[in-house]
Formats: sequence, structure tokens, C-alpha cells
Amino acid sequence: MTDDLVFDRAILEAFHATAPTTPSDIVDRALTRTADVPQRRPRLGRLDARAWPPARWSIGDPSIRRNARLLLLAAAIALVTATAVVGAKLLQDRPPTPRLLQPTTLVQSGSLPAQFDAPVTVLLGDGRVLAGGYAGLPAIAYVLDPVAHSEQPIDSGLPTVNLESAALLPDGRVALLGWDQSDPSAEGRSLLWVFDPRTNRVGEPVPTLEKRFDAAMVAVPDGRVLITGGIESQDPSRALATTELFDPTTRMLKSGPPLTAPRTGHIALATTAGTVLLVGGNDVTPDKVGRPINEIELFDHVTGGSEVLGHLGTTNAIRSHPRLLALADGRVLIVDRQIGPQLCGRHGIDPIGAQMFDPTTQKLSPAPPIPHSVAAVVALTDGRVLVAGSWQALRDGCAAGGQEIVNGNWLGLYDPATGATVESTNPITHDGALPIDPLRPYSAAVRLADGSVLLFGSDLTNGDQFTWVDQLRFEGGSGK
Amino acid sequence: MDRSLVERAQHGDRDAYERLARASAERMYTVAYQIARDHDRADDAVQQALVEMWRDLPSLRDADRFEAWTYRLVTRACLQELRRRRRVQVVELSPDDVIEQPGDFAADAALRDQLQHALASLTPDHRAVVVLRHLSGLPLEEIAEVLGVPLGTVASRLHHATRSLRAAIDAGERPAVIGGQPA
Repeated sequence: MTDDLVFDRAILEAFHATAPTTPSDIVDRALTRTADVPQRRPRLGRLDARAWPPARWSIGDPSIRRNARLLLLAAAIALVTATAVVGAKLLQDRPPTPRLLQPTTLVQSGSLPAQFDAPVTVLLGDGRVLAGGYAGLPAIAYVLDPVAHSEQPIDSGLPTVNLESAALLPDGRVALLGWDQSDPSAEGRSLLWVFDPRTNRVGEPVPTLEKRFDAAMVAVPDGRVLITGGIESQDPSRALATTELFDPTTRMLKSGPPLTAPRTGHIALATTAGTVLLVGGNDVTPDKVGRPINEIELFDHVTGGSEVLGHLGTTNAIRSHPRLLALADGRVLIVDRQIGPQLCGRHGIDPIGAQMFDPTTQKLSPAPPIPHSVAAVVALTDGRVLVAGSWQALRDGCAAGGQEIVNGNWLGLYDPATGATVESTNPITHDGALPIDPLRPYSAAVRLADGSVLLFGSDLTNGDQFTWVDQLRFEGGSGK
Repeated sequence: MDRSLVERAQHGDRDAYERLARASAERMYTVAYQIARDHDRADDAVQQALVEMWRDLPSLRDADRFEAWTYRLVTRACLQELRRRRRVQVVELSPDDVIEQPGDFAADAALRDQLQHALASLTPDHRAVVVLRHLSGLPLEEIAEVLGVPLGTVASRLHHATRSLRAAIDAGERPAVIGGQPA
């Protein structure tokens, strides 16, 4: 192969060997041709298509300054007109204050043929729901049809896989991040699939650049998928501060900017501002084993910038996850980790802290506390949030020397503006009006297109090999 | 280029324009000819570019970028000319001219001819990138501005053109072949 210098010289010599002689009259002819041609004067600050180089908007540009008055006048007229039109439209179309939903029935809707501790759920564009979790089966997930009350497995093509995270893509497909236990090396590996609801199938899996157990994945606005943190195997030896970006179109992965600190077991949510909120998780590096990560971090996958916005309120519950929920107005509700059993809590009332992130101001603000531990959150059509969880308490409290432990599963309709919460019936006080089956705790929820909510749960103590799926229906508002 | 000369021409000074045109004509013609590989087309393209230079000088935002702007004018005029009068261009080259010359001179001539063939076989868009890069010595960012295409497009065109030209050079370095047998 010819080296660069020889190549450059050869090209230059080739040009010189054929150097043309410029016609002597070429300028004279041009002068004649332009004698009657007027120059074209730009009309508005040289903002025409012929202007070159392309405009770099700077107040120092004299041509911009020269026309600043015209531009300001035009902008003012446009602003006044737009304000008048939009104002009139808003007054005309102002929606009535939303009527609060009234829960009507809680019905058993179906089940998944595996027991999932905390199912990953995604509402598909066709109204069905993708759900999966840690089960070690050939199916990476299941597709539930809430109308037909049926479920269909999504075969991974591998004997033993688990679903860790799922992200709905703009084109309706779903990126699935899983952990393959059937890897011949027996160490396990993390794989990415893309599920297409139209065919009910996944494509060939793509191995992540690094093994990532307990990582968090989220779809970002540029159409790619961001995968953050995790640990390099199920043996918690090293937490990762690295990230990867997956392009579902090309099925290519590339390294993203690093996190400020290792994080595993956390959750991530893309904000309307294009950044990603990272919350919770643990650091398992040897000198920090078991340290819960309480920083609420705002991460920019494009610039690599990161900012700690604040902290979760609880610090003692390592294994439980906080919750993130995007509200209809773009704000994000951040719910603290589930706390462990507080047997002496009064009738299981151990308020959980909550905060609100506003993507416009990029700030956190306090939100009213929630009465009990929360395992699942979902936004309702009336602006409230359905929360679900469980608690334990001594029926008579510690002071009375009570011995009877009461398990309290609960549902609540929480208003993030006021904190007012309509609760399910408390088994000790018998207060509360929401329907609930006391033997069926819930750990995940998804709102369907008709406004009703599918609730997922399982009893980890009784060896059941299925996950129950119940449907909470409403009347009023847009829920049914 | 004298900035004040450009600014005077921008305000309609025809003497200033004439001096700019005379100072730029040879450079513009060389670029046009190497892209078009045809004197008539190069002449037409430079004429067109010189007329546009006069007419659109007031639209040049930065007088210090005059030289780059002239590359833009002549390259675009040349490419438009080639598209307007699209016809097959045949490069005449006799095999005898290559193999009958002895020693290094023959090898150099063969290499040059291989390169001429390769340059002629490039598309005008690819050839424009090669000319602006290797003959005019413009950086890729400036070529992108001159051609009005993204930087990645320039890099891609240069990559493909370079690959073709390198193949031509490599072929030129191999022994010439007569009647299927090495010479």
C-alpha cells in the first residue's frame, strides 16, 4: 500500500502535470458581462440564502444590529398576535376541573405462569401489556391481553433468562435488558433484545459491552437506549460506573459517558428535558459494601454532565427500591424507599417521604408524604397517583405488649398536590373504603388505555409459581 | 487578500472588483479545470463564478473569507455546469505511451496516467473534494463550508476517492502488462 506522503505527492504531481493555462481574456470578458449587472443588496441584515458564510447569530454582527429594530418590531407584533389568539383559544377550550375517579371493582384478571418479585411492565401501543422479571425461564417476558385475559410468552431462544429492565421505543417496539443464566461460562451475561409487538417476537440478542447485572435502562429522547451501572456478575464484586448507549435501529452499542459513582440496583427515568434521573441503588465495591445510594442524580447522557439534586429521606433499607413516576405535566414524583417492617408503627402508618422534580426549573421540592410503604405507583387520569404496597404491625402496638402481627396490604389514591390519600380498608382500624384483597399484595402496576389499572403481585412466602394480575376499575373521569 | 479591497467591491467599486477578479482568476480556473477536466467547461464555470462574485459580493458576511468564498463560487459553478451539460467524458490514453518509455521515467509516466484515469473516473462531486483538498489545500471543515455539505459527507467522499486513487497508484507500481504477460 502506498504511504500517505507518496500518495499526496503523486496526486499533486498529477495536478501539476495537467496544469491549465488560464485564458488571458477571461477577466475582461467577465468585466464586460458584469458591466450592466447590478449588485444584489441583501434586504434584511444579509439574511438571504446567498449570504455566506452561514449566519452565526451574534449581537456583534453589524448587519444584525442594523436590523435589530425591524426584527424587534416584527417579534413584538407576532407576540401580541399570538398571545391574543392563544389566550382566546385557552379561554374557549379551558378544560373543566377533572372529576375524581371513583374506584368501583377490583377483579382477578389473569396470571403470569411464573413468580416475579417485582415485575417489569410496559403498556404496548396496541393496549396489551408486556410483563416479566426474574424467573429463569426460556421466556424473556409475557404479553398480556387484558381484554381476552390471555398471556403469550416471548421466547428468548435461550433456556434460562431473566428480564431486568424494559424501555418502550418511539416506534412502538420495546428494548429488553435481560440476564442470561444459560451462558456456557456459567458466569451469566447481559443481553439486549428488541421486541416487536407486531410479530410478537424478539430479534437476535445483542450482548452488552460489559456484563451488567441489576443495571437500569431507559429510552432517551434521541431514540437510543441508555443503560447505566449494574454489577459485572451476580457475585457482587464490583459495581459499575459505566454506561452504554444502544441504537435499536443499527443494533449497535457504544460506550456512553461515565456516572459520577458506581450504582447498581437503581432506577432511571428520562425527563421531558432530555436528561435522566437516577435514583436509589447500592454501591457494592469492597470498601462500601451495602451502602445505599441516596443521591438523586440528574445525568446528561449527551454531555456526560451530572448533578446531585438532593437525597432520599431514608437510608436504612438497602434492598428496596425507591419509585419514580412521570406525571402528565412532565414533573416526576420521587417516592422514598420502602422501609422495613415497623411493627410498632401505629396501625402500620409509617409515612414515606416524597419529592417532586420539575424539569423546567431542574429543581426538587418537597411533596406531601405517603401514609405507608410503596411498592408500585401509577398515574391516574384525574391527576392523582395510585400507590400500592404492604406493611406489618402489631395489632395492639408495642406499648400494649401486643403479640399479634397483622399484615396490611394497601392501595391508595394519593394527590401529589395536597397529600390527601383515599386508602383501602385498614385491617386494624377498619378505616378506608378502597377495595382490596388482604391476601394479595401488589408490587407493580400499569395503567391501561381505558384508565383502569392492572396490578401485579405474588406471595413470595408460599411457593406459588405464578404472579397474579388484578384489574382495578373506575368510574367517573375517563376511567372505566 | 486585501480586506479593504473586498469591502470596496462590496460597495460597488468596480476597480476593486477588477483587481479582485484578476488576482483570483488563475486560481479559480485551475480548480475549475481540474474538476471539469475540460477547458470549455472550466471557462464557462469561471465566467459564471466571476459574474456571481460581482453580483453577490454584498452577501459575503466576512471580507476575510473572500478566498474561501471564491472557491465556493467556482466549485458550485463548475458542478452546475457539469450537471447541465452532462455527457460522457473520454480520457484518451494510448497503452503504447505507457510501456514504451524506459526506466523510471516510464514508471512515473505510467503512474501519472493511471492517476489521470482514476481522477477522470471519479464523479465530479468526489473530484471536487480531491481538488480542494490536495490542490487547494483546504481543511475538511472549510471544504464542507465551500460545498455546503456536512463534514461527514466530505470525509466520506474523500475516503472513497482516496481509495480509488490509491488503487490506481498501486496498480501503476506493478509491472506493466502487455498481452496478458508481465513486461
